[in-house]
Amino acid sequence: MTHAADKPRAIGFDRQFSADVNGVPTEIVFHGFANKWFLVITQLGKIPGIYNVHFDVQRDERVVPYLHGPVDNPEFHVSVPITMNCCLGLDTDETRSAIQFLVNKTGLHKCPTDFVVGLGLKQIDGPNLRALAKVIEEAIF
Amino acid sequence: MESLIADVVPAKESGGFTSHCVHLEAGPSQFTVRALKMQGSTMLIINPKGTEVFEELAVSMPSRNSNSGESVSSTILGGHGQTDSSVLAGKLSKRYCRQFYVSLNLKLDRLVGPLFEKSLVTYMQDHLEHFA
Repeated sequence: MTHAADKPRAIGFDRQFSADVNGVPTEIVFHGFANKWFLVITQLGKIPGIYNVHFDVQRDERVVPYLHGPVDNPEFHVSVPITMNCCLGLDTDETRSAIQFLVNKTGLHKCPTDFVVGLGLKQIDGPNLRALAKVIEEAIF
Repeated sequence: MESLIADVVPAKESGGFTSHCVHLEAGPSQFTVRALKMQGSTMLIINPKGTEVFEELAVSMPSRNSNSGESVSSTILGGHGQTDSSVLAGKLSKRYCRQFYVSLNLKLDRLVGPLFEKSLVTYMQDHLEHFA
């Protein structure tokens, strides 16, 4: 995992950087707006799909065991309940499961409001998503 | 340009994308523009200074036939049909022959609207490297 953010840079968002995810250069942008978090993750140089993600259970209303996020143990795994709306681009099971995975595995589930994600991944599979989740968790949350 | 506030920061190369943030003035009000320049497209998020939200989002594409000079735009989040965001996205797309994503979250009226547009396009023209 190498981040291209070695030198101090002037950027227009809370985070904007390029990272190596499983050998694929990935552009990541993050900004926390007052009513929404905004995230772009793309390996294609553009935003091919935009999804609006709404949490079914608001952060303050989750039952105590899940207050600190999803349960990560595979035996007792519980996903964070979310509703995704595809605003632009292909609405496939793959992208939906990728977003659900990232919500479960990163600090995205701490989002107090809805968030909008612009997603453009070359290949959606376990190793790539795990590597991506690790980069996001380290660099943003 | 006198309406420009000192907060201009140079965007530097980060892989393919660059981003930029600037505060501009339109008459009595100030607004913040955040720009993300991608390969072949640009995203602009425009808000009143201090209270930044992400409400509307529109996308527009230049016409495939470059001679016609038209663009098509659509609101994809937070609104229906023609919105301030989609109108601005359409204009920018037509002007720069480039795809634009625009999130315009200002309350514009007939007085401030033209001032805002002038301030924005003047700045974009002077700092084209951040936008197109």
